[in-house]
Amino acid sequence: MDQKWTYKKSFLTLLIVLVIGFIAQYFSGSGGVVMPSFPANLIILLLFTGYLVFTYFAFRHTDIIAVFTGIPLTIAVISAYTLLSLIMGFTAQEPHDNELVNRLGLTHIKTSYPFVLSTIFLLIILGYSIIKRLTRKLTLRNMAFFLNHAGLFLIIAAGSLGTGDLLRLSIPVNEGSITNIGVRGDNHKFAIPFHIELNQFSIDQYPPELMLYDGKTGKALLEEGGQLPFIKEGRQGKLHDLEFTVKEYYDKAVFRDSLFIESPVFGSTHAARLAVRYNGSTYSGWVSPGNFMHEARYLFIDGKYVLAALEPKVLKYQSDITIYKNQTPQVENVLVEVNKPFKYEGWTIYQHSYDARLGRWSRRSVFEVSRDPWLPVVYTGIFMMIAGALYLIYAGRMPIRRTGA
Amino acid sequence: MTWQNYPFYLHIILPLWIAGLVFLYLPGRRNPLIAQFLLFSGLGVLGIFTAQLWHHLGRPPFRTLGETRLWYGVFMSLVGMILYYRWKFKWMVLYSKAIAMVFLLIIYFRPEIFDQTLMPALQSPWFIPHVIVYIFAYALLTAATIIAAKGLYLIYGGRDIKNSLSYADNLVYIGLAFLTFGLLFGALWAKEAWGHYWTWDPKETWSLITWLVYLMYIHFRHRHKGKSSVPFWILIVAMIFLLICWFGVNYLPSTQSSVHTY
Ligand code: HEM
Repeated sequence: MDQKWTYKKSFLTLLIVLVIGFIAQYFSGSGGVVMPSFPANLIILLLFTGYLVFTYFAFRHTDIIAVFTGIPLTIAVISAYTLLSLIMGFTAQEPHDNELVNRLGLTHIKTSYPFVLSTIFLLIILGYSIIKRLTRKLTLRNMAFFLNHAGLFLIIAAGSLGTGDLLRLSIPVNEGSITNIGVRGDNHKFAIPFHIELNQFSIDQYPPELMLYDGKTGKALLEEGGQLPFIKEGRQGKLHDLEFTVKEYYDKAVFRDSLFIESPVFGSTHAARLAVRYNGSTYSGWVSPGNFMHEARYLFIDGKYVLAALEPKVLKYQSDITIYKNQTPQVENVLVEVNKPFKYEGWTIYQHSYDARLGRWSRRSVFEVSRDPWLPVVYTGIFMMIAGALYLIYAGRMPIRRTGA
Repeated sequence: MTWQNYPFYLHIILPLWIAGLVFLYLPGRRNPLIAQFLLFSGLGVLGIFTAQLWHHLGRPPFRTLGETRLWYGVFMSLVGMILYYRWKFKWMVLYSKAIAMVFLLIIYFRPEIFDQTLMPALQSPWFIPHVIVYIFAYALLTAATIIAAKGLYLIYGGRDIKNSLSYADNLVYIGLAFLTFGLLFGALWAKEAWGHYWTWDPKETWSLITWLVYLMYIHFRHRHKGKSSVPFWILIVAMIFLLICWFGVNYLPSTQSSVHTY
C-alpha cells in the first residue's frame, strides 16, 4: 500500500530517472532525441497503451499498481517535470559556449533524454490512474477525473509523438513569384504538394507618433507605449511647455530641395510640417521617421528640445495569394493575415513576416506553412481538459471519500 | 438594435448592479434575496442587449474588441453569480461585478474598434478571454496565498488554523481551473497566430511551471486532508513562480527571443 512507499522513495525514484536520463544524454552526444514519424509513432502509442492496460489488469492487486497510482509518486513526477521546466525557464534554449552544458542537454531540454524519460514516467502514472478510475462507477466526479487526466494524457502523448510528423516550414515569396519550397528550422529544404503565388503584399500602418527628446541629453521626455499624439493634419496639442500644430502631413512623401512633397513612389516616407510655439517664439520645420531611402528629420527647438516622428507601428499586414496544383489555380486571391491563417488540404498557411528593412515597401512576404496530422488528437485533449476544468469550478473541493487501492 | 442603443441599456444595468451590491452587503435577512433579484435583472438586461445586437448584426458578435468586451461583461458577472450560489463567496460577486462594470464602461467611453497601436498578433478574438481568465486566476490565487501566509503565521505561533485550508482549497480549485483555461486558450490562440500551439516560449514555460505547482497542491491535498504546513508552503512557492511568470520573465536570460515581450 501507499504507506510503505514514502515520499523519500518516490523522489529518489525520480532522481534516478533524471540521473539516468542525463547520463544517457551525455553519452549520446549533444544531439536530441528524434521522434519517430508515422506510422512508427502511432504503433508506439498503441503498444504503450496496450501495455498499460495489460499490465494494469495483470497486476491490479499488487503493490506496484498501488504505488503507480499513488499520490507520492504523482507529486514526485510533477516535481521532476517542474524542475526540467525550471531549467528551461532559466537557460536560453540555444547552443551554449560551455560544451558540458550542451552535452547534458540543458540547452535543448525538450528533446533531451531526462525530459523524454520523465514524460514516459508521467504517462505511465496518468495511464494507470485513468484505467483505475474507468473501472469505477460512472459518477460526475469520475467523469471529470477522466476528462482532466485523459485530456492531459492525449495532449502530452499526441503532442510529443506528433512532433515526428510535424512539419513547420518558412516560405518566402516575392510579389509575382510562385514557389513550393520551404525551409525547416534546421535549414533542410522541403517541397510542399502545392505552389503559392504572391499576388500582392500590403501593410497598413498607424500614423507616426510624435515624440519629444531633451535637446542636450537626447533622453526621451515622453513615455513610449503611453498615449503619444498621432501625427495628423490639423492636429494641435501641448507637449511639456511646447504648443504644436501639424500644418501639413503626408503619408507618402519624398524630399526635394528643402521640403517634402507628396508622392506615392516606391521608397517614399511619412513627413509632417510642424509649427511650434515655445517661449513666445514660433518654430517651424519638417519631421520624418525616414526609411531606407530617406534620412530621418527632426525639429530642433532652441537647443532645448528635439521633436521627432517615430517609426509608424504596423496595424496589419496581409498577403493576397493564389494556390496552384498541377499548374492550375485551385484557390484564387485568398487573403492571409496574422491571426487569420488559411487552411488547404491539411496544410495551414500563416502570414509570418516580410522584408523588415523595406517596411511597407516590402514586396516579399514570408509564410509559415505547417502540417500537423496529430492536431485533432491534441485538440480533443484540450477540449476534454476545458470541460474537466469547468467541473473543478463547479465542484470546488468536495469532501474526499477513501480511495481504496 | 445597434451600439447606438448601448448607453440606454447601460443606464439601466449599472444602477441595478450597484443597488444589488449594496443590498448584498446590507445586514438583514431578506436583503440577499433582493440583491440577487437586482443583480440578475441587470444581467438579464445585458443579455437582452447582446441577443438583439446579435440578431441585428446577423452574425455572432465576436469580431471586434468592443464585442469581445461585451461578452466578457456577460461572462464575468455570470461566473461571479455561480460562485456565489455554489460557495457563498460574497466578495467574489463584488469583484466580478466590478470588473464587468469596468469593461462595460470601457465600451462606453472608448467605443473605437482598435486599441491604440495594438500589434497584429494581439488583434485576435482570443486576446481578451486569454488575458481575462489569467487575471481572474491570478486574483483567486493571490487570495489563496494570503490565506497561506496567515495559516503559516498561525501554525508557527502554535495556534489553530481552523478552516484556512479548506478556504485555500476552494480558491485553488477554482483558480487552477482558470489557470488551465488560460493555458489552453493560449495554446489555441498560438496555433492561430504563430503556427504552433506550444513552442516552449519562456512565458509559456513559466506559466506551465506555475500550473504544475498548483497541480502539486491539489494532489497533495487529495491524499493528505489533515492540518499541516506543507500545503501552505506549496502555495507560497507557487506564488513566487507566478510572480516571475507575470512580471519577471522579461528579465531572464532565457527570454531574448520571446514572442511575449512587447
Ligand atoms: C501531471 C499529471 C497528473 C498525474 C500524474 C495525476 C495523477 C493523479 C492521481 C494518481 C490521483 C489520485 C487518484 C486516486 O486517488 O484515485 C489524482 C487525483 C486528482 N487529480 Fe490528478 N494527475 C495529473 C494531472 C491532473 C490535472 C491536470 C488535474 C486537473 C486540472 C488533476 C486533477 C486531479 C483531481 C481533481 C484529483 C482528485 C480526483 C477526485 O477526487 O475525484 N490532475 N491525480
